[in-house]
Amino acid sequence: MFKKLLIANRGEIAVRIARGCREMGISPVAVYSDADRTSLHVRVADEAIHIGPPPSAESYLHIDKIIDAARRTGAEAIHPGYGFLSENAEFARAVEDAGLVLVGPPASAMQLMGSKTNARQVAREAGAPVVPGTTTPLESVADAIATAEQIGYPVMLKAAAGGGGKGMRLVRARDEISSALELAQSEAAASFKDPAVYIEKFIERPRHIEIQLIGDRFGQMVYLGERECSLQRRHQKVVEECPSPIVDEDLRRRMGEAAVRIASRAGYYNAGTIEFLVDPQRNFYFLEMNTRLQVEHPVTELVTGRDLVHEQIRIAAGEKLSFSQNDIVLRGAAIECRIYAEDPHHNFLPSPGRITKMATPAGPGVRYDSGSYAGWEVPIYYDPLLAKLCVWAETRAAAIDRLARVLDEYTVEGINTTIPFFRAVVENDAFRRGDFDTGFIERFLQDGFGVHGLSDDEPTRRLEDLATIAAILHARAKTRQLEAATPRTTESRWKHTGRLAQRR
Amino acid sequence: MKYEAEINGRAVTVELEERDGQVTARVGERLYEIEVARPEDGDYLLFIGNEVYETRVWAEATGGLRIKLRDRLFQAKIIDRKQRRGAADHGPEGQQQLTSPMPGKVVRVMCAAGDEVIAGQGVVVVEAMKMQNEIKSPKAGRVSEIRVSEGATVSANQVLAIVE
Repeated sequence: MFKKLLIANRGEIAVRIARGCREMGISPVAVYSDADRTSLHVRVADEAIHIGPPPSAESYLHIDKIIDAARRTGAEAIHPGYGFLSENAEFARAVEDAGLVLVGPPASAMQLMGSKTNARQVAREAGAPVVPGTTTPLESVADAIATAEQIGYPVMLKAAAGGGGKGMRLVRARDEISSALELAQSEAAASFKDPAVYIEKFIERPRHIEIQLIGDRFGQMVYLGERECSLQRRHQKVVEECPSPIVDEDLRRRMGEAAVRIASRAGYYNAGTIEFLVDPQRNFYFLEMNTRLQVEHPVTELVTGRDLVHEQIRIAAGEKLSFSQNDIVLRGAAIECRIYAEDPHHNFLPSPGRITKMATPAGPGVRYDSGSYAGWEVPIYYDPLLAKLCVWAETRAAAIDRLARVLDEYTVEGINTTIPFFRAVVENDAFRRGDFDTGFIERFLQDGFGVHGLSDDEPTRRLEDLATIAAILHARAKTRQLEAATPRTTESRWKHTGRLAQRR
Repeated sequence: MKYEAEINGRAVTVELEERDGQVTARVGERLYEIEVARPEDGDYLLFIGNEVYETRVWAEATGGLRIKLRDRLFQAKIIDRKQRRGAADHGPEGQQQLTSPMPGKVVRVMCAAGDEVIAGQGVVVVEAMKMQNEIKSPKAGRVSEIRVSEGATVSANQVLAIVE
């Protein structure tokens, strides 16, 4: 087993991986930019290497600096987390070339599955259903029209190298296709330096359900159930759960086996995720593969009782998978909320800044993965994910009730967060029934989710009054503190400050 | 003491007296007798008979207050009468300051001093956490001053430009 492992990431995922290392007796090494010198992931490490200025391109995305940091500290392996370099095949190759071990898939499989068109090809060869469409980039407008006509409108144009909703265009009719193709290609070129765009049938009201896989270097590959990830805002997941409210034993087995076939065909090992779209008739279609550990992996860990990071590290060290498919049993239900430094009441405006105080939830069934702490300044340079708040309970309904309780215990002061947004989602009937698709959040926001619990009834007025009274007490206390700090003499503040400085 | 407050956008008048941790408050027509304890800074524990309400209060970067109470999160402003008289002088007429709604980095300045702008026209773009935000002119007029340049780091509420 490794003695030392470098974590090429920051924030909550770097902290989560460091925890896994500690539990396995491995010494965690952090890397940090100027903006992260006192960040939590540095505080929990044994060694920390400075890798440059705040912009990611000059620090967390800088391959040479990361490899050099591993060499300097004698780390034997690198865990890339998610985002940054985690799906960069060039990085994976650089790690291999430096004689280090990447905690992740081989560079070849990463590269193959990183291209959406190649990945669709692999899925087809593996006999898995894919959304009808092309597996090669579109050549021309005529090509696009012919394909769209063949598979039927509406269709989706997608960047081959894409992700995060960039380079995507929905086309409902023939006369929209030429301008949509042009836009998608130029957006793809700008975002990914690759203008290749392909076409897919647009599935109306789909759910986004993914299968967690883990496999070793000896050809053993296991699926660890599914995750329901349909609650998304601008193609970014915000709430994830395991299991999905619509997946039964039979569908789980069929999706799981398809996922295993796809990954095996790609020569994949370590942890990975196969994403599927599921239509209202519960037909599933391969969407793409994520060749890394996912943000939402904790819900799978809670329900399967397996530690994915431990397993990833063991596999990277050349060990066999410690369990087989028959050992995987799903127990209870888990839900995760991604807590972002954003203001949900003002169109999710970023809210970096200093966290002045924090109260974090605890008690039965709570898992809190955080990269933040009170007194920490949330930097302006990176993703706004502060923490992941997960709950587990015996049933989905019990997990939702628990989530409401846990969100009420959670306060982050000084900046705005998405906590109130999740508090409102938890109250939503359709969410409670499990009746939703990937368009749920947009519709939920359009309806104006407002302020949770805001109404004109008597108990609400009482709480509102008490909140006002507390605010006045606070304002009075602060005014008094200010007065006490200001001397009641006629001499100037400057003189007074000067004297204070002399006394020091 | 009489206070004027705004709670989640609703204006209320509160009469409040405090003596030895005993608060008597009248909000509109409702009267409250409250015993107050302060377990930690910014934390007000309100006892009304057998009922207990833990309220956490903190200041926002934009100057307002946030109050967390059970499953609710409130926004409040305590308005000083003097302040209000002062604020009344700045209507939509005259000078308008364009401020940054968040800390971030100026990625684009779209106008120069002296430019004519229409209401809603973008003047400066501020980026934070990979999200770009266009700061727009609240009214038609002339940009009299641009106070930031591209690449500058700005804090919340910092004045970016002035439109007359």
